[in-house]
Amino acid sequence: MKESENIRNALRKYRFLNGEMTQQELAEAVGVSRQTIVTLEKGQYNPSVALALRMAKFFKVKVEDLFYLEEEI
Amino acid sequence: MKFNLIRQGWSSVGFYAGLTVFVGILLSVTVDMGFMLLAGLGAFGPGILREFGVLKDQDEFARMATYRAGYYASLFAGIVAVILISILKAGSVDLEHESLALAIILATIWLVSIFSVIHKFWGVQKAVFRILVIFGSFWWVFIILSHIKEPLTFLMESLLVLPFFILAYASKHWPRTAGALIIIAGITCFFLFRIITDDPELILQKVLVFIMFICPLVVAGVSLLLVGQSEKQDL
Repeated sequence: MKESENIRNALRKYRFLNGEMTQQELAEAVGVSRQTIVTLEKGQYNPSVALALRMAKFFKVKVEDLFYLEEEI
Repeated sequence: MKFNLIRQGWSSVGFYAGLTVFVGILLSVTVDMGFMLLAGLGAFGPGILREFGVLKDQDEFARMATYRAGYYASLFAGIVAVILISILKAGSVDLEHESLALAIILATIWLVSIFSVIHKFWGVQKAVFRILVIFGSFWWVFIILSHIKEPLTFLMESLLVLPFFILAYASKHWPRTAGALIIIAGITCFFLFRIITDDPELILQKVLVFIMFICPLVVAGVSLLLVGQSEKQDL
């Protein structure tokens, strides 16, 4: 059984595509702290399903466009 | 009563809790040990309020960091408790020292939790930088309070605090060098404070110094070495 897999994300890209919004603006939009966005973008933290869905809904994309396994690159 | 401070980023509850612990320890050392209750309130109060759903100051990342810190704290405190029990049961230290043994366990729980949360929030470099600055600043405050009327002693003792700030600066710019220096400083303190002692009266005090001062230094140094120059963080 695989213990953990590296999950990558495209948050920075979608922030940029959304009018270069700041981390603080995204944090406020999805109801978390800026620090959470920072650690998410750095790949130091994997979000809960609920947060991933909230972010996907906010950016109007699918969850797998935002978060994907490293091997899928 | 409900608080929602998520959108303010780093919770101000942590700041006030830390301040309460600091004031509690300061008053218990200078006025009466009963003020340890205040320190306990600051250290464990917010967590209890969060579990009862009264305090809502954390988002999911902060909650994960806190739970993880609690896990590490229980592991470390468990190890320390077993060691202390074996020391006390060995009969080399009399029962008068039991309150100090409890203080050591509490200090372990609190310190490991704080360091773990700080590390998770800020990453190694920022965490070490801020811990060194906070350590140095607290020590300097105690020097000011103790020697404000003796300018020469005040200046001499202030020089002892200077390495904290120099190492903090170095940890930001040269993590590996700073890591090595911090480890050397920790090992030097180990021998300087004569941590290994045969005197049963001093064993627990030495353990307290080891846990509260030398362990954090060595852990910080090793963490910085592991981060390395190539992964220099965005500060």
